[in-house]
Amino acid sequence: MAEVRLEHIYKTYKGGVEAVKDLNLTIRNGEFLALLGPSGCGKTSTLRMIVGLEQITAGDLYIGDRRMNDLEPSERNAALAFESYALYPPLTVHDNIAFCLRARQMDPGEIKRRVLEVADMLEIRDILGRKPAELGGGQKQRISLARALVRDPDAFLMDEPLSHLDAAQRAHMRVELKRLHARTGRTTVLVTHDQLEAVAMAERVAVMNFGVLQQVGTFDEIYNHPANEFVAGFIGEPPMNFLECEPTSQDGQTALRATDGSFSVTLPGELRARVEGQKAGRLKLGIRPIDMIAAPKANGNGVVEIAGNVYTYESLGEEGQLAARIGSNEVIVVTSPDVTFERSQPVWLQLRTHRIHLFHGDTGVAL
Amino acid sequence: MATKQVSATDFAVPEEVVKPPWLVRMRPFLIALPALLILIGILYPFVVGVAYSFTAYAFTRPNTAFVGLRQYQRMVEDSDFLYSTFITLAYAISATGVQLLLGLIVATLLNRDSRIAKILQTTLIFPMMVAPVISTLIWKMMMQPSVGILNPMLNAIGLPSLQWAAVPETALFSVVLVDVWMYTPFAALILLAGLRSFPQGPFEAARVDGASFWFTFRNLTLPMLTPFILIVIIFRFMDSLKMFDIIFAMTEGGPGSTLMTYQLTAYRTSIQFQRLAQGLPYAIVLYFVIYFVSQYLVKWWGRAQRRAAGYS
Repeated sequence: MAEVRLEHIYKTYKGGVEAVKDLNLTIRNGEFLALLGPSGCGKTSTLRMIVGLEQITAGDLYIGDRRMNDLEPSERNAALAFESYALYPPLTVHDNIAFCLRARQMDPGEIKRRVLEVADMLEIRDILGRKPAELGGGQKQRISLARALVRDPDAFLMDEPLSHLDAAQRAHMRVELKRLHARTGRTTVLVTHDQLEAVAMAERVAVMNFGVLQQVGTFDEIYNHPANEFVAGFIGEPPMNFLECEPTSQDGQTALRATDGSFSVTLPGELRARVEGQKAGRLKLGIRPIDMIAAPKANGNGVVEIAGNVYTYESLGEEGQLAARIGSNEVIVVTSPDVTFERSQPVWLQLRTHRIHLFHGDTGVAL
Repeated sequence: MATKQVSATDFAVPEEVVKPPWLVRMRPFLIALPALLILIGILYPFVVGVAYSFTAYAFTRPNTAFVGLRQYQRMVEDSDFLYSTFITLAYAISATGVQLLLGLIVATLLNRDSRIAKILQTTLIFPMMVAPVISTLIWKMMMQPSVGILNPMLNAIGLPSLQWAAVPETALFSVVLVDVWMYTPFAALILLAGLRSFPQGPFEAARVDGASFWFTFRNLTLPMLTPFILIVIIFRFMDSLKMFDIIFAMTEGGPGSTLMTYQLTAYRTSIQFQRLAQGLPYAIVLYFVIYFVSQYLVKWWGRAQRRAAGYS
């Protein structure tokens, strides 16, 4: 077990595609970290650089205290569970798992013991004699994990391990992977585009976009204090609403007015101070769908409200999802099951003002 | 413009079923006709050949009387029969084996994305673009003991001159060498196509698993390549069992009867000595050997393919 440290890592592919730019990230000893981002954000490239399947263009990679840049994958003692499973098709499940041990010329008795141990852990003992093509996705997934775990690696890397499983298997494997990590305590990196997976399993989440690390932290930190507009919009389902607005003076206090003039909101003290401190021009107001209350009538009781029109409404049982038009913007609101809405009906949205996020209009950085 | 009133009768289906024209009815037969003609072209000579092998027909004495298996008995009792069997198999096995081994090495070396590998891949097919007889005649000139170019080359690296196909000791080696030169590229191309068709994942996994080149080759590459190896064996073994042109162009079966394979014995007896019926059993036995061996190999290939794909 060891710490994995990436210092100013760059990856530029032939043809000039920059997959990873100046990545600084430390995965602590024994930590479960998720690399989260949309497809093509560089997360898989990062993983492949850690394990040694891709050359590092610039920067330093350390596993433990050893610099790994120029070492072969076999010398890094990092295990990778591939997205495609990458099982050895002609070999039985047992030989798939034993492959790396036999490659290292381990004693046959010891190989047998370790394969059985890891097979028990992943509950695949009954299929050890089968061949990969005869097995289902969930079983292949377990074999791929078993193959990575049997080696006792310093770092355990997983590339979208659950993406080919059906919903029930995925939920099951999420729990199992977390249990496995708790049991083995290995430094683990999970690459995923699915925030649910990241939340369910990882202790910390690193969000990447366009090859750049956006934010690292616990899920709560990232969810409640997104560093920029991308992170705010990427994390959370349904995604955060963004409304363009600019600071204005209202009753002698700084408030926000929509760029298209459709609404204005007063801000709580702390946010107001931040807006004043920044002297920002255009801003983006971010508010999550669950941080608004939709009502068919104005409350008027001193709360911050925005008037709009219902665009679409779907009832989803225990909650409803409302899309409303406010001026030229469209916002999504999660509604309680007690109220229903009709298309084109006027609607008032009460904002939980302390849950408002503000981002710089041009750079997208959080205020 | 006058518009025609559309009435229901315009769309009525005629009650009488029209018989399709003759050409349409014959279409299935016409489509099958070329295959049928080819089949006749293959089957007719074969059946006639088998029929003649039960006679004592010779061009000098056209006698079509049925003599049963006497020609076959004569073949088996011939003092050269065992040697002929041996040399036929020796040629086929050594040529196929060496081609397979060299092809495997060449394919493994060329299985990379460098420019030189791409250039070499295209040059690979050059030997196959020359007619075998012409290649063999060129080789024969190169092997000529006094003026050929090969002996000076051997001498240059300190090896003694060879008599090549002129003496029994090196005759088989010489013709197999030409066969290997001619068909190793075929083996290499098939195996290279196989290597190129593999998914990258398992090989990357093997690198991460810390497997050496040899370990990966033995445990992963070779089992996955088995179907392609069998394709090479099926084609080259069948082909070299009935090899005629290289041996005939090089020595006509000599020196003496050193290279008298089934195929050459059949040719010499039936055509040169004009004893048609006497030579036919060699060709027919060769046919059955090739038939059964190929049946077996094709079945093996099917199993190997399933196994390589990950079924037990």
